[in-house]
Amino acid sequence: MARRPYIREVPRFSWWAKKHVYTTYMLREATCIAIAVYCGLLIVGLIRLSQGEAAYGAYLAAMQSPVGIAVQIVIGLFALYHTITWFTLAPKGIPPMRFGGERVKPQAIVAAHYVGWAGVSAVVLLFVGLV
Amino acid sequence: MRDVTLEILRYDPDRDDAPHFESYQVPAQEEWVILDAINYVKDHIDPSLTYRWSCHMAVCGSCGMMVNEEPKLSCKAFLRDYGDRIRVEPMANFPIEKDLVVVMDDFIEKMKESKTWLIPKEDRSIEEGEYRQTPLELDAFRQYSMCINCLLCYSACPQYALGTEFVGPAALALTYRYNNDSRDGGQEQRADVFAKSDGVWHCSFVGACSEVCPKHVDPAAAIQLGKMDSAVDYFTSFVTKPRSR
Repeated sequence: MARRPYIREVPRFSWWAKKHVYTTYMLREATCIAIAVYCGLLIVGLIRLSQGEAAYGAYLAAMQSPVGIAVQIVIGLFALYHTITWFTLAPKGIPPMRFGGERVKPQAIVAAHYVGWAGVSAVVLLFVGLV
Repeated sequence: MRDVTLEILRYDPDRDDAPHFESYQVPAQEEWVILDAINYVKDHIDPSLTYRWSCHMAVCGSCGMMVNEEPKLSCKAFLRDYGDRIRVEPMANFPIEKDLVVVMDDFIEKMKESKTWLIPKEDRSIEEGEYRQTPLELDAFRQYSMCINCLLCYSACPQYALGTEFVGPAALALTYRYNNDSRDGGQEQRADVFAKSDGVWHCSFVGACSEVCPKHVDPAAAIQLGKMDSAVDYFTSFVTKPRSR
């Protein structure tokens, strides 16, 4: 029998649409674009602030317009998805830790991330005077 | 007993230009695994069907196949979890040698390059006795030593699908396993393959390898921890000699 291995082609651009696990991975990675956009919006805000009260007022008005609010809600949903999916993966990226002789369980590492998130959020809300 | 239709991807390099599906009716027992149904085809319908298997108990790692497009050990995939039509193909991302047999030479080469064996930290004679290890030291790598080289992880990995230059999940997980063995001193020798861009840094953390692993090795975790070791090495190399893990 002659060796004639057959190589199956992989679609270069649509491979991620084939399987649920690949699609959710691409979505997780793509949500970082929304976070980059929001960082851009914050930088624009800083620039407008440096340009004086009128410029900053116009920026705030734009952010508070229906379109501005809609954009921020969409970005917020993407950021939520990004955060939850990365928190779920966190135990794989953290070296094994021991507490009282026992290995810290993955669920505890994920929970610690949520506690940290809540803590940081509370500090931010305190800072802006919403709590 | 129920009738199951197996659609098996067939490829004969002596006759076929491309693989094609053939269907087989199998009177299956409900407690059978996919491998039993494939064995029935070979024993009763077409003795030319070619595939690898040995232990039939998820230890040898030779019967990996795509079952309904998911990488599975066919000895561990129960018929009761599938419908009446089941599609069986050779493992994705590998060239097909014949029928369900794939060419795994690339992986064997990667295992050699990765030096996935124990390189003792200190030479000891037989008279000096064994290399001793505490349960805690064993715990640092035990999970990663469970790999049976079945290659399901390579079949699940889109990075490997898009470019076989990637060292890949099993070889990297096994490198991490030896690097973290208290008896081992081969980290520096393995760094060229492990810490390069086609090594751990090629992984974009899809995580599919860990989902399909039949032995719960979790190669994705080994690779992420390997990235951390590689990054620590890089930065500490500015002030000290590299640890090269």
